[in-house]
Amino acid sequence: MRGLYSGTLSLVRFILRRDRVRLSAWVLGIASFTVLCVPLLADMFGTQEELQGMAVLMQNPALTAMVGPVYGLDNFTVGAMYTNSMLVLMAMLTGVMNIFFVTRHTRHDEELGRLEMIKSLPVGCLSNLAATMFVAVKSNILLALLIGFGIAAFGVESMGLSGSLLFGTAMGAAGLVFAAATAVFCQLCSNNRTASGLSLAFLLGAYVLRAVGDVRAETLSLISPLGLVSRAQVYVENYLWPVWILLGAFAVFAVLAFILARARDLGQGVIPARPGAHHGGRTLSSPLGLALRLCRSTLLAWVAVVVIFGVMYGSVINEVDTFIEGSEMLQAMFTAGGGDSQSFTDQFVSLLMMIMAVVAAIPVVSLMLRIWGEEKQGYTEQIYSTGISRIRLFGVYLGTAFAASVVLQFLSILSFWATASITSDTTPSFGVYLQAAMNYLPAMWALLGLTAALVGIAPSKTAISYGYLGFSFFAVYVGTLADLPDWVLGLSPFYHIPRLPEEEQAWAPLAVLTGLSALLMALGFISYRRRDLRSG
Amino acid sequence: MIIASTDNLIKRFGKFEALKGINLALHEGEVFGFIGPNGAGKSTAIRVLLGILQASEGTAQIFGKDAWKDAVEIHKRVAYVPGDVSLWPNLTGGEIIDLFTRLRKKSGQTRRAQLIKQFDLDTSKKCRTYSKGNRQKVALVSAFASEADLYILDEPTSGLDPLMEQVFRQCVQEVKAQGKTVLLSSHILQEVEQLCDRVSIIRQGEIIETGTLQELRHLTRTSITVQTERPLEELGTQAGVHDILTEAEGTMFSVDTKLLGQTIEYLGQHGIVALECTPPTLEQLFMRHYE
Ligand SMILES: Nc1ncnc2c1ncn2[C@@H]1O[C@H](COP(=O)(O)OP(=O)(O)OP(=O)(O)O)[C@@H](O)[C@H]1O
Ligand SMILES: [Mg+2]
Repeated sequence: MRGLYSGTLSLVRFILRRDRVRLSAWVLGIASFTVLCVPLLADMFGTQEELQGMAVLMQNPALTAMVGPVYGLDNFTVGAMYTNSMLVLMAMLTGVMNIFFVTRHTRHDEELGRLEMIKSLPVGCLSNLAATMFVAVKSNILLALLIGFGIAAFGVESMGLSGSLLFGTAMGAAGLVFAAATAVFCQLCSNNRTASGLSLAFLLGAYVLRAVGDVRAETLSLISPLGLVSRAQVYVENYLWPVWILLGAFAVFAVLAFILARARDLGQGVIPARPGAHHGGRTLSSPLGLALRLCRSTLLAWVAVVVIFGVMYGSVINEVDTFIEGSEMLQAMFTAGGGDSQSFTDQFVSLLMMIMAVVAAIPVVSLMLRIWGEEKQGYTEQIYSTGISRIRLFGVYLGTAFAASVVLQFLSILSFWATASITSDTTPSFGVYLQAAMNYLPAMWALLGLTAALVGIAPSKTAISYGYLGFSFFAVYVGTLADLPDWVLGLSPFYHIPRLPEEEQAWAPLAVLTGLSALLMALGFISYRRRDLRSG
Repeated sequence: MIIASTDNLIKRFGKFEALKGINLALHEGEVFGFIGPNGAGKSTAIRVLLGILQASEGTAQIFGKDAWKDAVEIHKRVAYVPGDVSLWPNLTGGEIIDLFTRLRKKSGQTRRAQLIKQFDLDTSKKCRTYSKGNRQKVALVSAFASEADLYILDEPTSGLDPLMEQVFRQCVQEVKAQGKTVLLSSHILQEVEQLCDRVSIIRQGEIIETGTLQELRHLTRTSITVQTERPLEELGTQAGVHDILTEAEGTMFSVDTKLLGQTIEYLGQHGIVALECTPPTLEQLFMRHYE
């Protein structure tokens, strides 16, 4: 039995050595972002009245669907507000970190044949998985501690050390559930893309489950790792039981992964690969056909994601209306401010649309990056040797990503509007919503342009695109809660988009962003044509 | 006619000079061997010729066109098998062969079927599950199923079994019979000896020899074992004679192949009783250059 795990510690050291930059960047990045949001939010509210007012606002179903339920209303504190606005999203981000980490060291290494070399050494058959899980546990513990002590160091009154440690622990525990679930998916599928796709789908599923659960049926939230983190009621009751459930789920998934890993052969999945076609279908006769074939499942998955998001957020609009009608205080607030309850709903619709646009921007960036992924793997060299020009190949991926941005935005807003208008009778016309969604296209194109330029100029630095996308999201997200300087917010292309229906339409920023992205894309074209292909 | 050529081709990666001014010329209809130790720059030179890498200095041309600027035009008449064949893990071999042959446009379905049969390839398997040799077969089938004027093959047989290697040699001979040109980089000397008309040896980014195998042989030494009636006293002073060893069964020495004639003449003057003359193998030739 011991033989199964021999050499694990050397592999742990090896993983840490290989990943020292990447993993530290993730852990430090997440930790410092979480911690640095504390002063931003804490400084915003002077009086208890202001806080109490915020508490009422945060209870509205749109926000609840987005970030989870509010606790501690009787005596609302900065801590309770912070937990509500941060915990679920940060737990998600930790989940993403764990998913990427585990796939990289298990299925990805296996697919590239690296694991074969490691397994030929005197190490046990489960050592690599064990080492990966060990490092995952260590990283999540480190993250929890950094966050716990980091937040407590600000000495905000309602955010003591034990609560802060619970905050970090809830994030880490949720992260571990995703790490172990990913390990299971990596045993099930023999293909890295499918494994990471399923793991990310699991993460999104957990998010949607808790969104529905938090607004409608709480039981659903209790079976979602992301719903459980909220139930710890950090800084209010500081419950530990959700953390125990998360750790239990982690243990179950981890054991399952080890059992599956033991039962299968290297390079195979538990689900065996089926034989395919002897001949290529008609689509497989042009670079575009190939690109669509390769991205087919990714594209379909993202269509599903944006439609689910659209339906989920769309169904909340009705609840926002009821929420305002039911609260005299809010209605008084709006009439006093010269607005009406419709403008309150509009505000949330605008926010939801921004978030849906950022989500839809992820596949747009990833489709463009696909051309670099293909190049790195050594596939492009052969395509290129058949007389396909670089411009054409680049154009295929850029065009696909561009088309995807339009289609995904359209589908997302269609599903949002359809659900909203079925469930609520105050929904504006489709035209208004459509324009609101299409307004975000220039911002998505700017990201696409940046990615294209990076692929041409500095392909090994393409991770910047995702970093920038993440920054853009958080700049706008934190920007709605706290006062960030305009220049910081302005770095995000999404900030410049007129937010319909809340704001007036403005064409100038859209034109500028479109021009900028066209420029970046042209830069990408030119430099991609000029540089050496990386091969093998 | 020159099909492909490089002129003082230099390729740098940062400060590292992978190719230090190489000159190559492939004539129409010949099979040109490109050999050299690991890391010598074979694949780099091939990639520059394919316009995948850009020359730092000097020129690379195929069909009289610039390898970098006119890559697309050139590639319409080129078939390439890369050194490391990487294939999309979720496509089948058959799908990939179809993709490549369709992209190259000129190819026939009968040729495809014939090659698949010859190479004994199961085209319904996903590439993820192929062995190295099978991946290579996919690349070879799609290259030979296309009608090209120049075949660039970078170590195409490194994973094939001897039987499949035989099939590969047939394929090369077939395209050669059609007057096509082949650039073959290889470590398998027997293969080079059997297939190639001319050979270039590259080492550390420099071409150190080019010529037909006959010509290259002349650059090496022939081993001789001889028994004569009269002792060979002045043998050591003969031009081109090396490593003399006298034993009971006779005298052994090696001689520069191009001076073989005059050495035999000298031996004849001493009354030859027995003579054994071993021509240099390509192996010896390489050993001398590789070291
Ligand atoms: N992109 C690159 N960056 C830096 N150095 C490179 C790069 N590509 C190749 N080299 C270096 O150039 C040299 C030549 O490599 P090349 O792949 O051409 O060798 P080769 O003759 O094909 O060897 P082998 O017989 O092993 O295939 C090697 O020293 C290699 O390390
Ligand atoms: Mg090579």
